[in-house]
Amino acid sequence: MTDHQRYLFDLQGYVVIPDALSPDHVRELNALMDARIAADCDADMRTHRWVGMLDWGEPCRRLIDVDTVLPSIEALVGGQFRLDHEYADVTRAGKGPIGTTLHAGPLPFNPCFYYKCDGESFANGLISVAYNLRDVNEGDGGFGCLPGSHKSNIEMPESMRHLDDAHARVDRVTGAAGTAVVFTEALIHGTLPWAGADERRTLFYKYSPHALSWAAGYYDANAYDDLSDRQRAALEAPNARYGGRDGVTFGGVNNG
Amino acid sequence: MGRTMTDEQRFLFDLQGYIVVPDALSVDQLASLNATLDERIAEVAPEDRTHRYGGLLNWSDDYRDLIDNPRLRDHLETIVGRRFRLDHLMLDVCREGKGPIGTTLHGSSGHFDPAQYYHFHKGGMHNGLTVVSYNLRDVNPGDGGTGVIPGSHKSNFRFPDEWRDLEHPHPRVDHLTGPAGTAVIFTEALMHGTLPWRGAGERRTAFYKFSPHSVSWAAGYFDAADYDGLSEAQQDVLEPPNARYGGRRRP
Repeated sequence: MTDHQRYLFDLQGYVVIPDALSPDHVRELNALMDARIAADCDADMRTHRWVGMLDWGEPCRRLIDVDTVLPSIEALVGGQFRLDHEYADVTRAGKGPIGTTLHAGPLPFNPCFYYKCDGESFANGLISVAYNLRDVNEGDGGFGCLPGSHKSNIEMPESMRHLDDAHARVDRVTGAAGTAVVFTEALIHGTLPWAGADERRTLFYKYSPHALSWAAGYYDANAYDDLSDRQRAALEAPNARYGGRDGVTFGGVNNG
Repeated sequence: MGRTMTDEQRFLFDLQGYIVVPDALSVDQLASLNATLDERIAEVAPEDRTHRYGGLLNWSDDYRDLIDNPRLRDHLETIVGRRFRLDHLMLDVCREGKGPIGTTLHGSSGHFDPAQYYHFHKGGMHNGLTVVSYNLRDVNPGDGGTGVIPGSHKSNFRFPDEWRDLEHPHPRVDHLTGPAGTAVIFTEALMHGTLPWRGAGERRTAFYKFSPHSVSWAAGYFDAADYDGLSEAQQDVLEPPNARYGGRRRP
């Protein structure tokens, strides 16, 4: 993560990483999504969300620790980051799967969503990496956020919540296919109505510090036989990563 | 006449480090402030491309009235504190290009400065030096003038030097516009500066800078006795920095 990216993440609560995915990787991911759309969606589908893409194929599992984004994940949530959950959205027109409402943010304090920085290192709860599989151009819509709101001390007025009529302060974040937008869930964010000529196709990979989980379900790395050690480590359930944990249950279920 | 700082303005000041307040001056005030400035320009700097004026409190009642503009009092009490004081003031005219202090972003962002800070504690904000900048002429998109990095009053990192030059502003710079009579209130903890002026008319901006009662950025203080006709409230705003303890010796 460069000094400029570090400054901007602290300032804005997000950074844009162009060319995070190679054109070949984008093509592979789009082909997988084409197949899912054909299998799961009606012809007149306007928007759809899939939860859990690791079963779709190796190109999706490769996203667990993409080299271009990995330094940012490590800087933002720590070297022992874990994949918390992932999902994919497609939108052809108008509202996305969860509407157009600004949500999340740092207030009131939520142990899943927080942002801290001491001028040297970051500490975040859940962070998101959103990959554009199709271009997002000016005026198309898609990811919108209130830059700097990850450090807000005052609750956002309800009058600013709706992205159908977005406040002037909202950043409309754009980027070509292959772009990654990395943001903290302490940032107030949402989805602007889609007005692009093409589909909006976005993959969301969400990461937490090693001891934290937003999701109620955890991964089983043994379900996949092509994972690297680092990918397996990223799929471990939340815990303090203490030595010898494989055989110690402390009276509970061992998710190690 | 007084106006309350709204919830949205409080949220935006905390978020951005500044707010834009339309109609902070009446039409009559604006006409009078500009007429006085016309005279000063004719006397002092008729040919200058840009000029900075001081000593505004000696100019006229209209300039002295801005010591405690009722349309902004609640805003200053919220942002600086109930016993805010006028720290210093100046007025810039710019006809083209760079203003009197150039086009470099500056501010105390990324480190603590006891004269210029932003702090939030238990539901309230606390600022050091805070600027009320009045547009005496329109500032339209593309004209230039005040540029800021929104949110930088809470930055944890020093601002990158290579992004300071407003001749080539970083995409993150907000260009603050507004018709004549608009006030921009910003904390000096915010990274701010002046974009080169490209407007059709002159840029005319009066800066009134306020501090908490015990803080001074400026090395010189006002003497309220120098000005006739000040209200008690205005005299209080001109008091030098101190803790405002009872029984203190006042000028």
